[in-house]
Amino acid sequence: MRRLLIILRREYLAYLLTPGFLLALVAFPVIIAASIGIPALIARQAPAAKVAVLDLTGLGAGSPGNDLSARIREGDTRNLPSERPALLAPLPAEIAGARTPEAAGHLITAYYAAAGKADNLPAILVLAGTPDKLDARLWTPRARLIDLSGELEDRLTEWLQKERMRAAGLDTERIDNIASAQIEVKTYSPEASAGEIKMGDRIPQMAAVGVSYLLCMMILMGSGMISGSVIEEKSSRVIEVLVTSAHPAELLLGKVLGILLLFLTVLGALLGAGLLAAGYLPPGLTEGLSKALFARGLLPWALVFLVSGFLMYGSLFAGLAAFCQTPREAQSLAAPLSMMMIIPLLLVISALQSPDSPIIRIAALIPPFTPFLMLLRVVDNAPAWEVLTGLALMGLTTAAAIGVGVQAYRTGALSQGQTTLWSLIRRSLTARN
Amino acid sequence: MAEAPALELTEVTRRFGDRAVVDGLGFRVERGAVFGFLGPNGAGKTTTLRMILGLVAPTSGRLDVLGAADGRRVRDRIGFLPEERGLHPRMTPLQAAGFLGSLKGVPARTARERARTLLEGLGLGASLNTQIRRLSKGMAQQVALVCTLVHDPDLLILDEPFSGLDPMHQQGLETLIRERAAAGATVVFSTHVMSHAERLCDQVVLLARGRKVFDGTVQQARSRVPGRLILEGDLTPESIAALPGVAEVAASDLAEGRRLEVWLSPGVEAHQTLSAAFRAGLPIRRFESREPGLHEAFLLLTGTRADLPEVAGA
Repeated sequence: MRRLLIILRREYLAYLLTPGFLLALVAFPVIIAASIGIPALIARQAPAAKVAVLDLTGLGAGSPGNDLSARIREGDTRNLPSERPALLAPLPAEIAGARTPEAAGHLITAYYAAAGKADNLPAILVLAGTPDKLDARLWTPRARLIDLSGELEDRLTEWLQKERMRAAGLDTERIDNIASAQIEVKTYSPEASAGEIKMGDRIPQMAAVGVSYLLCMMILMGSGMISGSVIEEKSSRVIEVLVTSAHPAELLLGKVLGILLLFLTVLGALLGAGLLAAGYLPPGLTEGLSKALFARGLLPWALVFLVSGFLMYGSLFAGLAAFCQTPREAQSLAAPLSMMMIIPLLLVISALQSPDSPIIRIAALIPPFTPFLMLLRVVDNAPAWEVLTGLALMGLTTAAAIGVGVQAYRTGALSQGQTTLWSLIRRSLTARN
Repeated sequence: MAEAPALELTEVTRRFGDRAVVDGLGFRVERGAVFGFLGPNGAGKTTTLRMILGLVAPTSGRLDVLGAADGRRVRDRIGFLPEERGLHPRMTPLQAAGFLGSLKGVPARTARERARTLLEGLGLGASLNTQIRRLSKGMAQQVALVCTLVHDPDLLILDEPFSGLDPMHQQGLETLIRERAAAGATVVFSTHVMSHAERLCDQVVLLARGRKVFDGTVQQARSRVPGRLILEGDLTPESIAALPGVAEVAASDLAEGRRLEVWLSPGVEAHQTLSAAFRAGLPIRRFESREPGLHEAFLLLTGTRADLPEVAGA
């Protein structure tokens, strides 16, 4: 245990005191903030969509074109995701003479071709037909779907419904009364803090998903650090001195735990920054967040699965790296394991929708998936036996990974010269010691 | 009652597949001795050292390392310097000594202080806080050696410690080995540079193709090699061959007379043969006695020199 702690400390300090790590520590929250803020900034900076309407229905003042133009002018048509209202653009003169949707199409095509790559050309909506069979075609300069089409569709549908009600003999008052009818279904649950399910009640599930993604990031980043450290010790022959000074299990676990502690330091720093920032949040929101995060022991459980998951995968990666002579060999050997992590991440998304699904329940008990899925099951009040079985199986897998790693460490440490990866693996499986 | 040895191997064999890399090896190293483990490349020296350290298990046989079945159980009492020095390249000498010393049970601060004293003694005082990757190979080797000493081991195992060192550093290392032995530590080192073993060792074991071919003192090893005499004068090979203790004679003509190279039988002293020659009144103008060194003994005993006679009963 003493030696394990010494190795842990060395690994921890070896990374902690490097300029690269300190930079990464500062960069991490900046990257998180940027990944949230930049898309919103881009959307805000994007110009509002412009729409011109060509109405060929011949319905006069009550035509769908006039109704839609009025709605656009009132800002009633929003272009997701920026939520900026679309602007009504004047109809280009080249198109005004069209009498059929087909002719309009030709003119619009020619108009777009003549305009070239000019910025923010208007989309052009061509309306034709009768209220019984309305023909609506939205033209855009680029061949891509735009969110605006759904909004336009909704507004035209409302116009069409009103027209049909009018044709059925209803007066304007009745029509407006029917159109304004709306009902909201509220969701309640005994598990919800206030009976009705609010956003705060979903925080544990979302936090569990966040922990799964965090674990994935830690494993992917940590695998490179662990492999790099093992390969460096092998290439500089430090490993030969180390295996005579400590048990290989102490070397392997010390390395994995040192890097885990490093990540926990980063998380701790971010949590500390978060707590400081919480002082500036509205009191109700802070209270709701902390209540949701501490409900059902979420934070301790998150820590359990982060630690046990990293320990399991870290031991596997350290064991694999011990077989390798070069970083390239380590990367090629670790790649299938890293790719496998896509599977639990996909399962996590499904688990969010249906955490009780038999597939999710079984998958949560399979050790490579347990650290990613079991937290969601815990949040969803999984029975204790499920959680304990998952943890026990993970423990066994971790022990097996450490066992393989120890053997690989011994064999790898003693290999010299141009040894192939496969001969090392064979030797480690057949070695007496 | 005799003191228990620092190290004892009994009929130790290690096979890799069908090949016996070490075959029925046995020797005993007393506490406080400087023990040379000699042999050509591939003789099984490193495998034997690894069995002593507990990194490789013997296929058969028994080891006793400071009273334990292998080095793993007494790792804090052993200092090991591998052939390719193993140090973290980004650590400084003091950091490396603190880390490796603490793994061996010495508080890091104490290990650093001891390392500081030893390194300053070796003239490396200016490099105490320089990253090891920035040191010369010789300096890094000395740092590695110091790191194996900071926990004051009872048994010091050095695998080819002199390779790559310049004569000045070799001298420093020899001094350090002598000091450690004088302080009561047992030093086991492997080498194929005989001059170091000749100067340092109380006992040597010669290994060839996994088998022990000699176990004894340097003097005993030398005595296994036939002595050599160079004689010049009007001599005939037949008259010299008839002298007692002569095993073989080779002659070459000089401007005046002949030059004879005479190999003596094992155990025969050169002065015995010379006395017999003078008593017989042979016209010797000049003579020269060539005492065999450990180098010749090594070549002969390991069977790597064909022009020397075979020695029975190694």
